[in-house]
Amino acid sequence: MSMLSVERLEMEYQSDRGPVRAVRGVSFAVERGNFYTLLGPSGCGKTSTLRCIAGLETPTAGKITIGEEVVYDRQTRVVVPTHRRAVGMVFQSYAIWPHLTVFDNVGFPLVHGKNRVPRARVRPMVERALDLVQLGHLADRPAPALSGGQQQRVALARAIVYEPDLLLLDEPLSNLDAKLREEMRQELKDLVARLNITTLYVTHDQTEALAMSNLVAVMYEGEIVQEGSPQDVYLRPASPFTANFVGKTNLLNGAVAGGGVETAHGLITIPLPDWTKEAASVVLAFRPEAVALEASDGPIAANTIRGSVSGSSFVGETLEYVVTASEDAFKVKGDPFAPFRIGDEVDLHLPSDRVLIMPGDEATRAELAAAAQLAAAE
Amino acid sequence: MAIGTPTLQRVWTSLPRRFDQRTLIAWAAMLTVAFLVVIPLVVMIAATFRPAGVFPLDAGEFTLSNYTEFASGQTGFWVVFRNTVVYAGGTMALAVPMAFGMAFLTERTDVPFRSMLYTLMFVPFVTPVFATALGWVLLAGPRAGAVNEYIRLIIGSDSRDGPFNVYTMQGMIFVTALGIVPSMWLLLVSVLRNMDPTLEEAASTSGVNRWGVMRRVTAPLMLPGILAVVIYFTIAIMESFEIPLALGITAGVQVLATKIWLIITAVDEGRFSYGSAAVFGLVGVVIGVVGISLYLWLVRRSSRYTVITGKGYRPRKIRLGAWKYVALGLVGLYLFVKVLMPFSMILYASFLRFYVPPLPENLGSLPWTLENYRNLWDYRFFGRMLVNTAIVVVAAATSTMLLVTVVSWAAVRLKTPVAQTANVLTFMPLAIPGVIMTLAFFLLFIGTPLYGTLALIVIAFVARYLSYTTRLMYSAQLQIHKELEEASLVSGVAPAGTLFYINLRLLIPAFLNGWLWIITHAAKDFTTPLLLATSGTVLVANVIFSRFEGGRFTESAAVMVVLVVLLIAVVWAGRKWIGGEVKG
Ligand SMILES: Nc1ncnc2c1ncn2[C@@H]1O[C@H](COP(=O)(O)OP(=O)(O)OP(=O)(O)O)[C@@H](O)[C@H]1O
Ligand SMILES: [Mg+2]
Repeated sequence: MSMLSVERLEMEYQSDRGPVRAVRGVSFAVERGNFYTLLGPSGCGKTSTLRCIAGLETPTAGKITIGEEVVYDRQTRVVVPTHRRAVGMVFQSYAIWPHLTVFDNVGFPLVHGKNRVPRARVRPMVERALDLVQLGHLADRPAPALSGGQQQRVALARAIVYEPDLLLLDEPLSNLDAKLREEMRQELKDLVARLNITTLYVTHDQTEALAMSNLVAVMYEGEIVQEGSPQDVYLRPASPFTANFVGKTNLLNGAVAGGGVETAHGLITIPLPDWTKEAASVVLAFRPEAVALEASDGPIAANTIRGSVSGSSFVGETLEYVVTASEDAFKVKGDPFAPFRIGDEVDLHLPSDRVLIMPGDEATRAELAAAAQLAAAE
Repeated sequence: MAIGTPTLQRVWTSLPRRFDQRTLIAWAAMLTVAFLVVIPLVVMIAATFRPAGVFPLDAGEFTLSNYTEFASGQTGFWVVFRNTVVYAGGTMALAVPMAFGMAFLTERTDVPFRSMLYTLMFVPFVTPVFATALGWVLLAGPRAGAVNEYIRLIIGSDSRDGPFNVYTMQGMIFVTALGIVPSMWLLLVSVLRNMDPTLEEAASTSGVNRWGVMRRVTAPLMLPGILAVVIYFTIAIMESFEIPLALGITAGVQVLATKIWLIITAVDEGRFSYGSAAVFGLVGVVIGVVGISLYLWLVRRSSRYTVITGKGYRPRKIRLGAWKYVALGLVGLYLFVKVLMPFSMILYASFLRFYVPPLPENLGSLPWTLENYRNLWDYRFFGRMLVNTAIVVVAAATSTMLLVTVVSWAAVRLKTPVAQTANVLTFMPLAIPGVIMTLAFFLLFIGTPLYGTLALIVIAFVARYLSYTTRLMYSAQLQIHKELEEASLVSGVAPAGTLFYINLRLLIPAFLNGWLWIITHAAKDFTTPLLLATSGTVLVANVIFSRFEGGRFTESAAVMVVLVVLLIAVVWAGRKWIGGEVKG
């Protein structure tokens, strides 16, 4: 039994220039105790989806089930108001109430909410929640007198203090500085794992998504374009969009030819899946770290692109090069202890098991449109 | 839906499930506002069709005679209308340059003691309009006005009159104009403030000189805002009551509001003629609605220009050099003429047994007394009337602010048609003259148990102060991040609880500001008490007016002094309290 299930969710905003379709037939399910992430660029409808689940926006179609309870169903006209849904939420702005102390902020749901507990139990529960986020010592501070990271912890403590079935997190780390973000990432992951709370996480940061989640759904223009484990999404992106959005990728257009793909840089031999029989154009995708970079030497080997180094930047653990070959520029990683110089001739060797083949841009768009039509027809 | 489900249930499930708490709250707010503004209007329109002596909603005949009488000119409408227009026009011509000059000085120049000037500009707010008018009677009454007497003494005139006469149209205009300058200043300051200085800077860096910048950038950008303020006050003055009552009746200059008052209070063969008063009221409403529409249109235009940068805003201040002392002197002169002169006359009069002008020949034999103040304690009404006033103003302020908080919350957060309707309806009281509004409540409730109770006065006050305070709360509400409320909903707190524990609590500073605003305005108001108070519900304003009318002028002055002192104490304590709230 999944903790959260979202079926063909649609949501529109009414704006001056007519309706904006923010969510377009999104379906997914989160298993009990899992950490599920919606990953996508700004404006793709992540927050809108989350707000529909929390009941802060009313969808235009679809069905949402939290635990056993149907909280929204267009067909039977069920709309459970927010305050009766068993969710906890951390907002992007943290939404810490400035007129209350840290303690009262965290205790608020227990004192006034649906999950009201006897007075005597409020203090131990709040203290436990504050200890979990390591803020026990700040309980009596007025809330405005907190740093960004501390506010984030208060918001988290407030969301978990009544032990909700489902925790919704909307880019909770995006307001923190890089160092703190990394720390909190680990802490947050440990915390929800320890409490075994089912978590739905929204972010546009692929590192966060990959590092924390059991499952990642990549969203684009109101739709989920791919769902899978972090490894799946990163190593086997299903579309150029995912490949490009989740991590850095080199894309190379080509046409299917016997035993491989004919590109501007020669034939790349790779195993061809069945669908390529009908595809006119395809795209090859490979990660910068998938490529073996060597100094040019003698004739060009198979599956190799020859070019020259046109840019490099040193980022510590690695060296990032831009290699130009005819019209194209490729991102490649290299050994920081054996650097190349600008202008050096290099060979990019593409191991055939690290190169992905996807439908060309035209085909991808057609595929997405077809999927949308299918969803709408149902 | 399974087969065999009862029809009722099927119908129910097919209804959109939107009747949650938020919707109910919005409906409740909308209906309350509608009751307060629509019903009085309907009653007034009904009254125009009833003959003298018949109440608007009673059984009996209908007539068009009120209209025919009005159209025939018997009621002297055109004279009244012309007076009203001259009065409003003259006042604006005098007040706008003063208010704008002062706003410009305090906002855009380096005038010294700026923060002190700000504080001083709030002082006039606590003095009742009626008191200022009476102060001017003592200063510029044609015979015994102190200023007149001194001038005659100095120039050695034998005349027993003049040279000034406050009981004239010019006198009314002068006193009114002085009175509205502070409120007008306050609104103009915000117009000047909303102007993004980078727009001016962009013009000067592109080589336009300072005068050119003023003419081509600053003025066009501010014009809609300034015009909106002018229209707003023009309506307010066309419908104002107290100065025309204190000065105009004696002067024989009747304006819209005093004409209505005279018709209502004149008992013609034992029959009240509400009908013809209501026709005048309708004219007031039409003027108001036209004016408000114009006002709203201009405000929308000016906010289209408003560029909210959110960046540190530091307008360029014009250096005045030595002129700044001249400027300061002018502001000082204004405050002296507006506050100190009239009010010191009231204070002086309140210590006399009967009024004697403070002339050199009288100074030795002034009838000093504390009797007027002692009478306040002896007078059997005093305790009750002060308690009545306190109850009424506190109840009116509290209920208005609660209603207005809910209305503006609904308008900002829900944006549903119901919520928008409530918000739009709150503009109506601005268009309906206070006298008309109160008259409608009078007509609606006379003969019901509510008539003659403090509750009715409270309701009338709520209706009258709805519009200003809604504007206030609406903009405060916009500042509250909606996620603060959503966090409470997600925590399992129902919308009503969220409204109470989060929204209202965060809005406390604005709430208290509006609350104080109503307290000071209601306590000073004459319109509502004069029309609605009965022998059992006498308020301070009634006592002031009845003493004044009964010729016991110095006693009336003492009541005014007490009222002003109390209001100053309330405002001072309130401001301190708000200061504490904001910090805490
Ligand atoms: N109140 C609104 N009215 C109209 N359109 C809106 C509103 N809120 C969001 N949108 C639009 O809906 C789309 C989805 O917005 P949403 O906030 O869900 O994006 P998001 O994925 O959370 O983006 P971000 O990463 O920037 O937070 C966007 O195109 C946005 O412009
Ligand atoms: Mg978002």
